[in-house]
Amino acid sequence: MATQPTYLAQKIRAGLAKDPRVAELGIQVEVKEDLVFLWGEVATETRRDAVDQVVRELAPDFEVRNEVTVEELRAPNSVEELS
Amino acid sequence: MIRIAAVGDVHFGEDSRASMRADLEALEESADLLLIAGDLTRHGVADEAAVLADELDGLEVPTVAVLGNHDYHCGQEKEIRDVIEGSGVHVLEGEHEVIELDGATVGVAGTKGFGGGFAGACATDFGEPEMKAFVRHTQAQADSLREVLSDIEADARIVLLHYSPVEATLVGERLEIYPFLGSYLLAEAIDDVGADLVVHGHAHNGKEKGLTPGGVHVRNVAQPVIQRTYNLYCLGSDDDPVC
Repeated sequence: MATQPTYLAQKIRAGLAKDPRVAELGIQVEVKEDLVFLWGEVATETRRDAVDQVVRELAPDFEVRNEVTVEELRAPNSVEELS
Repeated sequence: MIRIAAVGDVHFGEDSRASMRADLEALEESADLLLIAGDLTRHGVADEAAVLADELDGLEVPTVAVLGNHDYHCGQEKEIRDVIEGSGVHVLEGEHEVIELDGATVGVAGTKGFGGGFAGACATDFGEPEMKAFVRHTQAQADSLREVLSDIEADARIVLLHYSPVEATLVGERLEIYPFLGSYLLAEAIDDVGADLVVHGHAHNGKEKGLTPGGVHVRNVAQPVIQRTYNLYCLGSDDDPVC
């Protein structure tokens, strides 16, 4: 019996949280037909690659469209004054 | 005035090394205090904390942190705390620290916090043992926060949490997960005593600014929210109102 997309998406979300190579709770996952779509932001390119690897292991029969981006940190350019 | 730098959810791992150091060293000129609002590590192992400890080691600015849910994931929260404290950072869990600055004192009450949701749509201390345990953990966190905040004698009082005390800084997250992102019990404890600022993390898709029902400024400084190494805030005082 084929796995419903809803349950596969949740299996992937849980896997991304629990796998120590990723440990991310905020990656958005959607499964449509034979495609897995991923969105969100991670801190480094290494972590983005890890997301890709883990998802391919969890869903080996699916094509992965990894649209996760890598965040760019900048120093602050202003100070908020709180009264 | 008191100049505060704050960030949360840095989620350090080996690949984070040196990612913040240059900006942290610049704090000597721009801040009196650095607050880190939990989720210090990726998945809660002491090796990851050691990388952050190296990043923070030797900083001139006093630094105060709390742990977050990620820091508890592998059961190494005590080791993580020890490693971070080894770099000179004050780690608080139901405790406070009073920092003496040049001309002022600032007290920081810190605790992780927990979930349960917000007034009108929250978990109740009722039913199965597991549900009661969930709610009672947050109540205990709020009670200890109230107590340690009351004990602070300082010119300014700041609360440092990982979980959010208000819904306003969660806007952007799915409504269904609000109960896992914070609790009104934390805001109630803060408003019972009073504070000048609350800083938290945890909600990566939330927004920065909010207020408690009692009017205390709340700032979600999770790094994915602020998109900066840290944010800078200035608290004026009666004697020195200009930032």
